[in-house]
Amino acid sequence: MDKSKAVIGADAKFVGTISNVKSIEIEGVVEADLKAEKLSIGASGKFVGEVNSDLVVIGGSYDGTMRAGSIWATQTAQIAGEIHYQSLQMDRGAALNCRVVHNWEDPVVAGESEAEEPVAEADAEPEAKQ
Amino acid sequence: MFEKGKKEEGEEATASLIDEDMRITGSVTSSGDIILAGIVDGDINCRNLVVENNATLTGSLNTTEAVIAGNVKGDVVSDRVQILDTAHFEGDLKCTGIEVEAGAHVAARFNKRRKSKSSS
Repeated sequence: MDKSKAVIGADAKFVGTISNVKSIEIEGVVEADLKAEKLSIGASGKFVGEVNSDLVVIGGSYDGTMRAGSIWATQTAQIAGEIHYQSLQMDRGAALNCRVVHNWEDPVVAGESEAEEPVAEADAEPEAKQ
Repeated sequence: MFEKGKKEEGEEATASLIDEDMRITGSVTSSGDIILAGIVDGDINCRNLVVENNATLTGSLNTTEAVIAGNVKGDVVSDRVQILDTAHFEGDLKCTGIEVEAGAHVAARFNKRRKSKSSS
């Protein structure tokens, strides 16, 4: 569709670091640290490593530490490790065997549910207050 | 429900695309095809590889067929290599068939390779 979409095919294997990605779709095996605007792990996809992304759709398996604005775990998802999210959607059948933490950024004051500009905040070296 | 059903026509599921802005450090192994439009620091092993114009690869290549239109610095082991006129290539080539277009920047050592895949 659009040209700025990276695809890792079903029989491809990546090891290393991936950066500067806008949108990436993974059907193969990736062992990497990744920063992306949108990450989609397909049903046959397998991702091991750290993820920083605004939007993550997981249909395959994931293991690692994920920090994301929105996470959608579809029915074939298998997640291990740790996920930090602002919004999370789980389909029936999704398997989460992981630590699930809401709002990985600076803690939001209770009652004030404004979670804006995750990227700008994240770039400015978030202080880990956990 | 999931995007599986709406795979674009004409796009093989086995092909991987490394887009323009993307940067990879590490190795890439695939039994399918790879289109590289971004930057890779590392090795690539695959069937068919296209290094597009403006793409950069630093590292060695092991492919069946490679088309190079971008910048490649490293060693290439391949059955066939095609170096287009927009390419900048630097390194060793070990191939059964080599094609270099007029205008390509090539600084390479050419080695004729026998058909067998073993090499050193």
